[in-house]
Amino acid sequence: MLGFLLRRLGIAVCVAITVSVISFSLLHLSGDLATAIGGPEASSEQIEQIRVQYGLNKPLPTQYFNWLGDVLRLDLGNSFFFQESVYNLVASRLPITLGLGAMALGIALLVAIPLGVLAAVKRDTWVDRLALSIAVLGQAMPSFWFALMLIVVFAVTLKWLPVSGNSTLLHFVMPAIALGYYATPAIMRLTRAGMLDVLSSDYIRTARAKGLRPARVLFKHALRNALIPVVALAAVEFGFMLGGSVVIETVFSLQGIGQLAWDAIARDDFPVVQAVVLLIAVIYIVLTLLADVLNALLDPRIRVR
Amino acid sequence: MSVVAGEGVSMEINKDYFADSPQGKPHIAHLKFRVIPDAETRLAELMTGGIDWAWRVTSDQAVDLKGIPNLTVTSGETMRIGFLILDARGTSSENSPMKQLKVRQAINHAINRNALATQLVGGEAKPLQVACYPAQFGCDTSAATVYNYDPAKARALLAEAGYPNGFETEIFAYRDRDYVEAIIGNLRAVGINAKLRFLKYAALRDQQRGGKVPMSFQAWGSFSILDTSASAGTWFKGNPDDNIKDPQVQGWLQTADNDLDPQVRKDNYRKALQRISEQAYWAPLFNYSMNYAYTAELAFKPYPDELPRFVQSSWK
Repeated sequence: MLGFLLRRLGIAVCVAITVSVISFSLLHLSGDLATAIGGPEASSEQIEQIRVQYGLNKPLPTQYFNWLGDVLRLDLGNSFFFQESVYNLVASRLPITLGLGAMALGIALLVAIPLGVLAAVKRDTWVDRLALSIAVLGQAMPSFWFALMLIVVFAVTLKWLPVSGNSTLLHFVMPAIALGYYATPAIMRLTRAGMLDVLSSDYIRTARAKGLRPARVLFKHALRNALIPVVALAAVEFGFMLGGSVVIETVFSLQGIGQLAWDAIARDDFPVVQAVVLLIAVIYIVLTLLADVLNALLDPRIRVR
Repeated sequence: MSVVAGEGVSMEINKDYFADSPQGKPHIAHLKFRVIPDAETRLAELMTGGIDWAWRVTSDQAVDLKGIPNLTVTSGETMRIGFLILDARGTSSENSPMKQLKVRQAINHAINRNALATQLVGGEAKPLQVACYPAQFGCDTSAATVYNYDPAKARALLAEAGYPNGFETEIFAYRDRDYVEAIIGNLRAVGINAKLRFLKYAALRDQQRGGKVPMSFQAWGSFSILDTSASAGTWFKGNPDDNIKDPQVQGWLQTADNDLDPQVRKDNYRKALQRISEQAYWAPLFNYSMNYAYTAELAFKPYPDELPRFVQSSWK
């Protein structure tokens, strides 16, 4: 198990470094950062001053290794645009994104698991097809469009929920639904597949033969086993949600990591973009690692591979 | 006053502000600016009363909002102008068609400025023939050669220049993609097949300054300064953004920018603007319009420098 864990950790570090190199290169390939920061109305002298002030006049490898060295000391630098420490910016925005992600995941699980169970129990009936249709719709619909439709119905027409912002819990309801719906199809399909698998197994037949109530067979015996892969998938989906929050937070004007990333990309705020990309990558890597470890604990065959 | 980076700004009234100040005492007690990046969300907030005022409302949104009784929609002319820079020196390619005056004139005649200003930009946008904003000091619009929308004349000029079947080129841009696509359509109608290269501003500026751009769409707000030194003076005076580098124009602008006599300044700006227009170094297109939407209870007046003056606003 230790060997497996070390192998996975090594891969995780390599992925994090690769992500940081790619995002660093892409940002520098998109044009001169000093010009971008200065904007269309900055003079040549001002742009030169920005270049020197932010160390953008140094060779690219030097800039990258300086940045990497600082990151290892947990110094993420200062934002070009916000004129504030990137660490503070990220720390103040992260709870909003994590909260949104947790709510969205909760909604996704609450919708997807019962639907998956229902689809498995009522296999090949209209219930099964309806559940699959909901799943397909969730995968096909662009999240920003779904978010705007929620605003039109629940905020503009019914006036039940606030349109945007993050000052109360009510402000998170629509963003969490919009973000959670995107994760619903995958979880639902896995639950359905897992349930179909488990329901045809011998120990379920035995449980039924013992005369246990159908609900007890379904929830105590079948669902507990069918949900094992879902736990791992949920961890990965949570990572996806943090990445997907860029769109949702922008639509709902939530001051989380996603909107910070959006602002930073639009303004070529390089230290913030680098920090956010690295943070989301690290969270995703950790979640994937957790999912791998969980799977390995549950299924010894994976450890050997 | 409190500022939260990226989120917004809150302001409280200063009741002790100078009574004799030229701008007067403010009337609104609390001001809270919120950053709402998405245009549709801003609109929804406005419709539900979540916010009282919004700017940069797109022209199609402005049309929709005009039908809502408790909202006022105002369009304000702005100093920002849109234009094409044409590679008159031929630095982008040795055989660049833009080196020929007739080709540059053809481009100017090919573009339907009026339709661009009224149908796409909307609001108070107006077609433009001169390389400055008309209300700027020294921006003498009568100095400009008027290039009417005339595709037949454009085709004839292209034929005279040796391009009876038009030519292929590239048009660079960093904003307002829909406007640029309309321009591409106008150019294609006279035989100029311009391929769009849509870049981030920093990348475009590198290419433009490196002389690698045959034609680019640009927008310029003159730093909100009502003087031609901030428009033509910035683009034609030999600085790195001056792709044309016409010594005569540079000389006139140098004099106009530095002389203290208003008449001398005006005369020199006129000469410079006249030559820029005659030589069709640019295709000036239109000045931008800014749409504002706000609650009907608010008294608000827009200004062309794009700076909202809430100090003059009040609740009705």
